[in-house]
This record gives sequence, structure tokens and C-alpha cells, in this order.
Amino acid sequence: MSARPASSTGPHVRRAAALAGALLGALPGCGDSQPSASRPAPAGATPSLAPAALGRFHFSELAAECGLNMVTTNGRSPATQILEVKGGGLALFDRDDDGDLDVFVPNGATLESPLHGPGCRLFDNDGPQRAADGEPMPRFHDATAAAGLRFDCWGMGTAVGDVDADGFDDLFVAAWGPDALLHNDGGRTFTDVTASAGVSDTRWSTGCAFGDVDGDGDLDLYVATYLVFDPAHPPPGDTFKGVPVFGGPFGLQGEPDMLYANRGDGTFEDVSAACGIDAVPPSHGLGVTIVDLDLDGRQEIFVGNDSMADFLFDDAPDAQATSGCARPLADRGMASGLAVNGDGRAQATMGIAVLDVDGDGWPDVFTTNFSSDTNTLHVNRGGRFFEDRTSVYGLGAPSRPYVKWAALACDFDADGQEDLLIFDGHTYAQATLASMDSEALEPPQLYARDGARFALVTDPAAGTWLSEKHMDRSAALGDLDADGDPDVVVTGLNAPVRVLINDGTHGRSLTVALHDGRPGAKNPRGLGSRIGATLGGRTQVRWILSGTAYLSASEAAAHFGFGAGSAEDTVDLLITWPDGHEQRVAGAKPGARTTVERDS
Amino acid sequence: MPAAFSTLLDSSLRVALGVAVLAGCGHDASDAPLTAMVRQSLDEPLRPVLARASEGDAARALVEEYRKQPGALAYQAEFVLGCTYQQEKNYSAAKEHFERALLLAPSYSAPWHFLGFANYYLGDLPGAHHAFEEHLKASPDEGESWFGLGITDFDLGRLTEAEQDFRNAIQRNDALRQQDPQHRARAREVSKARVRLADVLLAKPDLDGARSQLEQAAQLWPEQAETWFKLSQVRAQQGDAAGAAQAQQTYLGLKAKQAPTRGEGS
Repeated sequence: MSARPASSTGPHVRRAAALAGALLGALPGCGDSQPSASRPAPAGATPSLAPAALGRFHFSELAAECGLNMVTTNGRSPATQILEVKGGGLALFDRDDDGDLDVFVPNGATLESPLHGPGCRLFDNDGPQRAADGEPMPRFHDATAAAGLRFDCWGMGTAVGDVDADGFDDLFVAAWGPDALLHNDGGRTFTDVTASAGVSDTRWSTGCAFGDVDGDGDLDLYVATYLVFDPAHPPPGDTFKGVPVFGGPFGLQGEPDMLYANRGDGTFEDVSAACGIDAVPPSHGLGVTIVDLDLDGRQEIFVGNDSMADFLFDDAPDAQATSGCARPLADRGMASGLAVNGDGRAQATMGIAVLDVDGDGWPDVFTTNFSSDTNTLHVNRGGRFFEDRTSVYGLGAPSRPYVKWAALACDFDADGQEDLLIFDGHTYAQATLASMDSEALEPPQLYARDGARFALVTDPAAGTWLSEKHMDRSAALGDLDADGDPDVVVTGLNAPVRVLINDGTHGRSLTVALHDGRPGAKNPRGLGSRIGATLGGRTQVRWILSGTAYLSASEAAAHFGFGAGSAEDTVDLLITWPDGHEQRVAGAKPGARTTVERDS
Repeated sequence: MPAAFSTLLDSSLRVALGVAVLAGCGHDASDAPLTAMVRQSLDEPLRPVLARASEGDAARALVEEYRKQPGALAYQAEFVLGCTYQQEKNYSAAKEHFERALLLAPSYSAPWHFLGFANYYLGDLPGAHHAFEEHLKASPDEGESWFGLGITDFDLGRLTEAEQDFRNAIQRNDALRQQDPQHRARAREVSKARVRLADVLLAKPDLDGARSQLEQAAQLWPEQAETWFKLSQVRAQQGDAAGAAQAQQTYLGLKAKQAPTRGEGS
């Protein structure tokens, strides 16, 4: 990406002003080609032509400029009950298969009307526009009504998967109240098929993820549940560090999670009991992802629990498949070391990221936790064991003051090393440094990978997004402007949805998506795949996963960075599909996006 | 002195001196006392207050009573107030009082040690490192300050320094333990330092060395669940399935006996 002009007023303001000044016209296929000269420029915005590079981690918050105008609803502010503070996720997916990422936000509700909130929103991406400064920018319009989308319960988590393999991604929404499976009807409209698909549940569901758990090729669904909670009869209050706060989760009854096996046609069977999911104690589930952690060709389920040990569902030893369960599972979280931190303490796991922190090709697991506790990095030792290496990698102490939620592992500056971006915001509006060692509103934390350590980024050149304080919860990754590097969409509590466009001065990026178009293929996006990218003898590994982050669905793609280099460089890809099939692809060009079609 | 206050002080003093422990300045990583150092540094009326630091507001009220006395030393009051907040794991407030104490009496070194832990738990590693070093200048044989320096160096990625810090902590605390083998707190201090030394050795990685440290730590403080968890992990990685299972059972048994607390998560 080229260097961009700087301004004495700061890059954030400069970019916003430049975009407000003029859009140079839509790219082909864009629905909204109206110039934006009428949009008011932010006060003090004075675009400068002085050439200077933006920071390598520079993002511009451009929700308004992109047309993504939405304020989420999450009860009241300040919150008075635990239901109001868990936030809600979002999904970045190409709902109409037009080649760009659309945005779905399930949205929450209020205590007064918890089953009927203002409703979900769908924003269609009209394709990248080219802004005045020459950089691409997505342009959204609200397509909720046109798509016939109706979901107005208290939405929590969102998962994206083509459950019936018709070529269009469907949406699952976990909720306080009835969950919903919204079938994508050919990219035009959505139909609520929850009941007919067999995924009705009315408990408090949170994180959810699709993946081929039973190895039959189609997408199964795991739904984490949080706890028993009735806003009409809230539990007694509690205290935190001596400060009176609302009650929970500590002391409240957890709920068992659900595993739904896809019958192959987009309908599901609840196999939670038959497959061993019910064998673990009812828990406070929040985060979930489905990933082959031991590289045995079968997907495991990792569940992050709040204030309880996490779960790792893997093959049950010596168990045989039955008519009710194709793959019996058992929790080996504790035995593997993944259930708790290195001190044997259960944490308040919320966000999950999967990355290869030591470059050995094994998936490592990063989780976010509450304040006065650290995030946790579990390094994978051959698939059987996980070691807590949080401190060794420099990820411990700086995270203590924050309540940490969404975790995004991504090479944002495209230097060939994955960074970690965490979105924060306290649970308790009463939080102050003096009372809780934390503030109610907190900035994101970006940890840049620097060799064997991560370093907390505090460089003002990253832009104002990194220092602005919010009560954030969820976030998702995706290349919204189709420039090859990952952008971020963020949701907070009762806050505007933010669109952070990655426009830093950094190395060459490559986004790799997958498509399995073989007849009868039932996981077209290759959820659960592992992708190795080799350039100059060095291989980086990423995964395409459902779940992760926190309650959200990121783009089903892998993002790589290669730093500076020759325009002639090409990248060799090795894709391990969820069924273990390996496919080699030579000649991928950095600086672009590529979709790999499955060969056989 | 008001009668009630006097009674509280007297009873607390008896408790404090009876068990020879000043438990008020606890912290996650090292809740063992700096008994002699701290106690000897305070006016007598404040010593039992420190022992009651976990009572929070009640302890702070006692400090206020102390402040009204002729000749009350403000820096000591600030220090004890810091300890009451530290006991509540309210490190921002604790830090403020420790820093005030140091401002009022720069030569009074005890707050440096506790400021080190406050800074550590607030995520300020350079500040923690500096504070522990300052305390060690005045008290180079204070094992718990070496321990604090060790966990700080470990978080800073200085494995070589952290290893030496923990070995220093073990040596100092073990010397004290030898003088009083029945003193359980000393055994715990040594045990904790061995566990953290094992963390460093695991990171190197030196599984055998880590296992040795953990097994010694478990002998010194068999009730510490964390040690057994780590031991189970190390043994499992070494292929000692039976040993790992035994350690894990011990860990789970100890955890089952513990009442869950908010400290376990949110």
C-alpha cells in the first residue's frame, strides 16, 4: 500500500475530511455512486498534501462515511443487570455472493422488552469506492427490509455457514430467548427456518460456531449457553472490589451447551447428550470455535467459559459411534492444559483467537479474560498439551487493567507476523481506577508481534482509534474494501458500530478464501481448513474458522503478510481441507485477494 | 486513646504477635508476610492495624484514630493504608498511599516492596522492577522482593535474570526457613519461588529441571493446588502418565475443597 498524505490535524481527521470532500466515483457494480460532497467535513479537518507515511497500524474509523449507521441496543446505560453487559456480535459475509463483504448485526433489546428489540440490521456492501485520497473504501446501504430479515430478540452470537450447501451463506443467531437460523434464499432474502431445522432453543445462548465435527462433510453447529437468567427476577446484587454491582455470573446456575449434527440437508439433530456434550458440568459458556487442534484430521470444539474451566471436546477414548452419535466426544481440556491458565486457575474466558505464535504449524490458542487478570496464550505442544506462555510472550501484565472481550489474531501490518488486537470495556459502569483498577471505558489494545515477544502498540501514528475509549464487546475481521488487507468492524454497548479501515503503510498482504464447488460438497467455504503460505522458504499458517473473536463471525478467509519485496514474488499455498485433503497452489501474488477452488 | 480503639489494638496486637505474622499486606503472588521487616518499621499502634488490614474500612478507621494521636507519623499511616487497599486487591489506591509514604519518608524503604507488587498488578512492569530494586538496595536479603523482581523479569522476558531472581528468593527464604523449620509461611515462600523458577525452566525449556523444582515445591507446600497442576502438565509431557494422573487428581482434589471465588474469573 502506498504512503498517504499526512495532516497536522492527524491522520484520522485528514482521512475523514478527504473522504467527505469527494468520492471519485463508484467502481463497477457499486450501487451508490453519488458523490459525497454534501457530507459535512469534521470540524477542523484540513486535508494536507504533504507526503508522509501513516503508521503501519493505522486504521481510519469510517462507519459514517461508509454508510454504516447503526447504534446497537443493549439494555440501558449504565447497565443494571448482567444481561445488558455481554454485548452482541456481528457477521462479515458475502450474503449475495457478489464478491464483497456485507455486515449483519443481530442487535440486542431492552429489559423492558427483552424479546422484542429494535431488530437486526443487514448492510449490503455496494463494492469498494475509490475515495479522494485514492484509497478504496466500502460503501454500505441498509438492506434489512429488502432482505426480509426479521430478528428482534436479544441477539448475542452470530455464526455464518452454508448449512444446506446451496451456495449461499446462512446465519445462525444465538440469543437470550429464541435462537434463530436464517436461511439465505439465493442471496436475495432470508427465511427463518429455526423450527424446521431443529435448532430451536430459548435459553440464553451466546457463542456459536459451525464446523464439521462428525467428519461427514457438512456443517454441524455448536451453541454455547451462558446461564439461567430471568430479567424479571434478577439475582441479588454482588460486590466487586468492595463496590456494589449487579449479580452474576458468579453464583448463578450455568447451562449445558448444545451440539447440533447436520443431517446433510440443513436440518439438525441435537446430539448433545448422545455425543457427550452433556457430560460436563453446566457452564457459563461464552466463546467457541471449532478447529483441528491436534492435526489429526478431525475438528475439536473449544469452549470458553466465564469464571469456570474451559472445555476442549475431542474424541472420547475407546468410545464407539452409535446411531445417535457419529463421533462421541469427551472433554480433555484439563488434561491438555487448555482449560485453565498455567497456574491451574479457571478464568473468565470471553474472546478466542487461534494463531501460530511460534511458527511450528500447530494452532495455538489465545483467550481474553476479566480485569485484574491477564489474557492467556496457550501454546500447542504437539496437539496433546498446551502450555501457558502468556508472560513469556509479553502478553500478561499489560492486559491486567482491562476487561477484555473480542480477540483478533491477524497480521495487520503485513510484516509476516501475526499481531493481536483486543477490544475492551468494563462490565461495570461504576469502574474507576480508584475503585476497581480499571476504567469503565477502555481503549483497544494492539499487541504487535516483534520477534519472540509482543509489544503493546502506543504509537500515535496508528491513529486515534487506538486511544479512544469505549465499552466494546465484539469485533470481526474482513477485507471490506477489497484491498487485500484486513479491516475490522466493532460493536460496543449501546454504541455506534465502528468500521476501522486498515490504511496503514505496511507490507504486502494476501487474503486467501476457499471454495469447494464440487457436486455434493457441503462446506463450500472450507470452514476448519488450514492454510500454509510459503514465500522465500518461510511458511506461515492460518486457519479459516467459525467462532473465535467474541460472538462474531469474521470473513471466512485467511490473511497473510509478507513485508516488502519484489513485485515478482509469488506465494505457494498448501491447503488442508477439513477432511484432510491437501491441495497445493503455486503462484499466488501478494497484494491481492485470491479464492482457491478445491481441486478434488 | 479511645477505649474501644485501645481494646481493638490490644487484641489485634496479641493476635499479631501470637502468630508472628502480619498478614495484612498480602498479594496474589506472594501473600506471605515480611514479618520482621514490616513490623519493626512501624509504630506499635499500627502493627496490629496491619494485621487487620483485610478488614478494610475498619482497619482504615483505626489508622485514622492513630493519626489523631500526638506524634503520629503520617508516612507510616500512609503505608498501612496502602496495605489495607492492597489486601483488597485495589492496587491503584494502594499505590497512591505507598507513593505518599515514600514521598513523606524517602528513607523508609518498606513501601517500595509493596509498591512493586501494586505496580506489577497494575501492569506497570518497569515501575514494578524499579520498586523492587529500590527495596532490595535497602534489604538485599529480602527473599520476597527477589520473588517480586523475578515475576517482573519473567513478564519482561528476561529469563536469565528471572531465574537468578528466583534462585535468590529461594536461597534467602530457605535460610530463614532453616532457622525456623516449623514456620509454615517460610516453607510456602520457598515453595512459591520454586514454582516460579519452574515456569522459567519450562520456558527455556528444561522439563527435568522444572519437574525437580515442582516436586520440591509440592513437598514444601502440599496444599498448593497450582503446584500439582503444573506438575501434572510436566509429567504428562515427559510421558509419565501415571505420575501426571496422580498429580492431576491431587490438584483436582485440592481445587474441589476450595470455595470458588470471584478471583477465579470475573
